[in-house]
This record gives sequence, C-alpha cells and structure tokens, in this order.
Amino acid sequence: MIRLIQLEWLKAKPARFFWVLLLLFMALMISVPISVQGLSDWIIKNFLPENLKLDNVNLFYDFQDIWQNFTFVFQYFTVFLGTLIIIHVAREFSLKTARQNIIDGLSKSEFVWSKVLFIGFIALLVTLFVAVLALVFGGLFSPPVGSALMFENVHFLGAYFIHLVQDMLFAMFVAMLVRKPGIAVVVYLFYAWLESFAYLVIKHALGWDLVAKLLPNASTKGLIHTPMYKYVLQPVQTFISWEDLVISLGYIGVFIALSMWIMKKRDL
Amino acid sequence: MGILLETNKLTKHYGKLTAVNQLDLKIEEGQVFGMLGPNGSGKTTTLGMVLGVTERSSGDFTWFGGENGPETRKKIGAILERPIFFPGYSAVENLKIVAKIKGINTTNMEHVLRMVQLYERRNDRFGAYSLGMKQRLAIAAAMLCDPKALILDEPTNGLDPEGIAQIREIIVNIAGMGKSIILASHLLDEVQKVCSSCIILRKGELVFQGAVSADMGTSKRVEVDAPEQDLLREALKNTPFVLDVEVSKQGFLVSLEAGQDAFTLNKYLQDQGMVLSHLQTLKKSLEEQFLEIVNKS
Repeated sequence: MIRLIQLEWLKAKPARFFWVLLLLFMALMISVPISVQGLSDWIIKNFLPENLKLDNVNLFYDFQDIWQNFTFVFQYFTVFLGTLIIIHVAREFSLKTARQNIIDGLSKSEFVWSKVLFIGFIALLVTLFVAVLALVFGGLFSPPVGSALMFENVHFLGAYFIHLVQDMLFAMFVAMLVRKPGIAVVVYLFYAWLESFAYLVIKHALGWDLVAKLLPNASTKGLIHTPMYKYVLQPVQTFISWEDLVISLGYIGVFIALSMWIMKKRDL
Repeated sequence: MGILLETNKLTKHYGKLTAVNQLDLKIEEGQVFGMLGPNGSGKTTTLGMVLGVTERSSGDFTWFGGENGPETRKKIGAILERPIFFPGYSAVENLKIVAKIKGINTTNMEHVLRMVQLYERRNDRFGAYSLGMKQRLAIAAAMLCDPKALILDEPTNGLDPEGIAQIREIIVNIAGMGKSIILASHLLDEVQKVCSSCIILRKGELVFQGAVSADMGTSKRVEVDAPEQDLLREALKNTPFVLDVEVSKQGFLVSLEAGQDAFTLNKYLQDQGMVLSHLQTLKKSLEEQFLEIVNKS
C-alpha cells in the first residue's frame, strides 16, 4: 500500500499542473475567510440585535459553526481537485504510461488502487489543511468558547473528507472512461453543470427529493447541509444523516468498482 | 535451457478481424529470438497479450515454464511499439517510477544509464530527447531490474543509421550477458544480424519457425546459359526436377525441386547433350526467402 502511494507521488511530484492546481485550490481556500469579513460586518450591522454586537468578531468563524461553514463553502472548490485527478489519471492513458506500467509488472487492480489511495491521501491532506484554517480563523475571530464547544461540530471535517474522496473518485471514473485529459475535463465540468439543472427540475419542479439526492454530484454535496440560513434565523441541519452517508459511501464503492471493471475489460 | 515463452492456441479477435490466430509458440531461453512479419501481421498484438496489456480472446500462454501475471512481468524488461515515459520528466524521474513498479531500489540506475550512454543527460526532459535516445532510455528502463528476458518491439524503427548501429550494439552486448531476447521486427536484415532463430508471422498465423541461418525450406535457384538458347530452353522444360524457367539477364533463371542443385542439373543436361556456358547457384537472400514464405501461404 505504501509502495502504491509512493508510486503515485513519483508520478505527480514533477508535474507542473499538479502544483498549479493544488496551490490555486489552497489560495482560494485562504481567500474565502478573508473576503467574507465584509459580509459578516453587514449582517451584524443590519440583522443582529444591539445587545449581541461585539467588536472584532466575524460571525462565520464562531466555533461550532466554523466547521460547517468552512467545509460547506470549500466544497465548491473541489472541482479544482477533480480536474487535477482527471488530468493525473487520463494522461496515463493518452501518454500510454498505464500500458507501460502493466508491462513493467503493475497489475490492473494495483493501477486502480494506487489512484484510489492517492485520492485518499490528497483528501486527508486537504482536510488537515482545512482543520488548520478553521482553528486559525476561529482562534482569531470567534468569541471565546470552551474547548468542548470548540470541537463540537468537528464531524463536518469527516463529512468533508468523504465528500472529497467521492468527488475525486467520480473524476477518476470519468478519466478512465474518456481517457483523453482535455475531453475528460470538459465532460466532468459539463456534467456538473447539466446535473445542477437536472437537480433543480427533479427537486423543485417534480418534487422527487430522494431522486434528487441520489444524483452523483448532488450527493457529494449532500452530507453538509447549507449552514447560511441560520443567519436569517432559519433552522439548519447540523448533523450528518445516515441516509446521506450511505448514499455517499455507496457511490465511493460504485466508482471504484466501475473503474476496476473498465480497466480489466479494456485493452490498454 | 528452459522454456522462455510458450503459447497455446493464442487468439485475438478485433471484431471480425482476427489479429492473431491459434498461435502455438515455444521459445527457448538464452537466445536472441526474432519475430518477423510485415506490419499488421500480429507481432505487437501477440506481445501485448503475453505482456498483459491486450486481453486475449482465447488460448493461453506461460512464461519460464509455467508462470503468468504481474509478478512474472516484473522479471521481464519490455518495450512495445515505442518508448513510453512522461515527456516532461527527466530520465531519472521516469526510471524511479519504473523501479517503484518493479519493487526494486535504484542502485542499478547509474549502471544502466551508462550502458546506454545517457548518464550525462539523465536530468534532461525525456521529451527533449532524440528518437535514438528515447529508445536507449527504454532499453535502460527494461534493463533496470536485471531482467531474465528482454522484449523489444521494432527497436530501431525510425532511427538514423548511427542510431540503428548503437541499438544493435547494445542488443548484441545484452545477448552476450546470456539474457533471453525476443526481437520483433519487420526488417529481415535486423533479424538476420542479431537473431539465432526466428518465427515468421503473416496475418496472425505462424508461417515459419526455425534457425535464421538455415535454408528456410524453399527450392534452390540456378542461373544457366548456353550458346544455343532455344535448345537450352527446351532441354530445361523437359528436365523432370525443374519447377520453373524464367528469362534473366544472363540466360535463364531455373527453380529446382528441393534436393536438387547445380551439380545434378548440369549432369542431367550433359546427359541430354547440352553444354553450358554459364552456371551459377543463386543464394537467396533472407529477404527473398521471406517474401516467398509470406506470399506463398
């Protein structure tokens, strides 16, 4: 297992696109907490009762809330990681290095597992990065709370990790299916766009909630419910439902199985 | 010597096309073995199947007298069609990947890079290499694990004469280390220069297997002439073991049945009262024999 992660690292490390996308992704993550300061000030000024107003506070960084807020917003950047994985996987087919790997003695299932493990590895790194970001910004701007309360909603980090894995596995599957990096990226992005329309139609026009939930992209964002309603005093789901978790884990299994099947079925 | 590779009715269909048809092969260890055939004769498809990248339609194969699968491939160094590496990565970065797949350390890297004369260029991008350098790096990668067998598919394709000479020298050196080599090529000349025995494939079927130097089981040809050509032509046509007579620059080109040669022809004609002014056995080049074998079937 260590060997397979090391193998992927050797493949990714010298690639420029890998670092460009990863650093861009991280830069975006850092930029968000900085840029929402103004939004927070506006909500405080216009919506909060006078007695709750505090100096030097950013609403979004309140501990307990910060885990859900950060992970929810950061989900929208996962598309960068998905693109990264698509290029990383699909170029192995267009350059034929996948073929040479098998000739050199990698088994086809090892080829798929090395990608899956690499995805898990990146998801873990990114999740840790988000944890650090949350602690830093929470530490700077949250009103002081006890350490018990501070980590109360930390389970959203786990949900975010699953979201990252599911989304990147979907990208890996698209890459294995399409095999040409450029076309695969277009298919991946176009699918996301198409599904967001389908989601609106299915959920709101037809009212089929469960079907809407089952859409692959919708389900990766289904674990972490929108926290922003609380700022206009609406109820917000702050737990992760079993139903959503089962759907996500189910997709993780399906994408691995389908990728494995494609890999074994096709010539390289 | 053990068996390097054995195939049993190995077959590959692409839709209606049969790329390899019921191929039975037995290649012994410790020799340079040629796989000869025109483009599209099934050489690469066959090698693709035995190297695990092309799914076979039916039949099976074993390496080293009974092995199969990824662990076996780790003991083989192989290049199919063209050298494949990440173009943006250096030779060293690419070889590290190969070593990780084979599960070996990189202590052998300097040795193999020096062997193919790429050590000085080891930190340059693969994409910036010339075709000859790319081929040499592929050979270095194949040799990295100190393989039991080396498989080379068209290793000199597209190279200039100097590049071809370099690759051939490397192949001969590797053969000298006692490694088994399978060399697939559409160039007879290449097989003739480095291989001890070979097979010839045509449209996915085996049409010849044997030693490269031996007579490939075809008829002999003799060129003859005499002052009276019309009489000679008649005499040749009446000779029982003459298969075919064609007019050539210096008289007639005569194809003889197997087992007959210039001596028996000359003796027969003398008995008929013909005296020859010119008699020459034409040694067929491998090229001609190859074309004959390929066109015959």
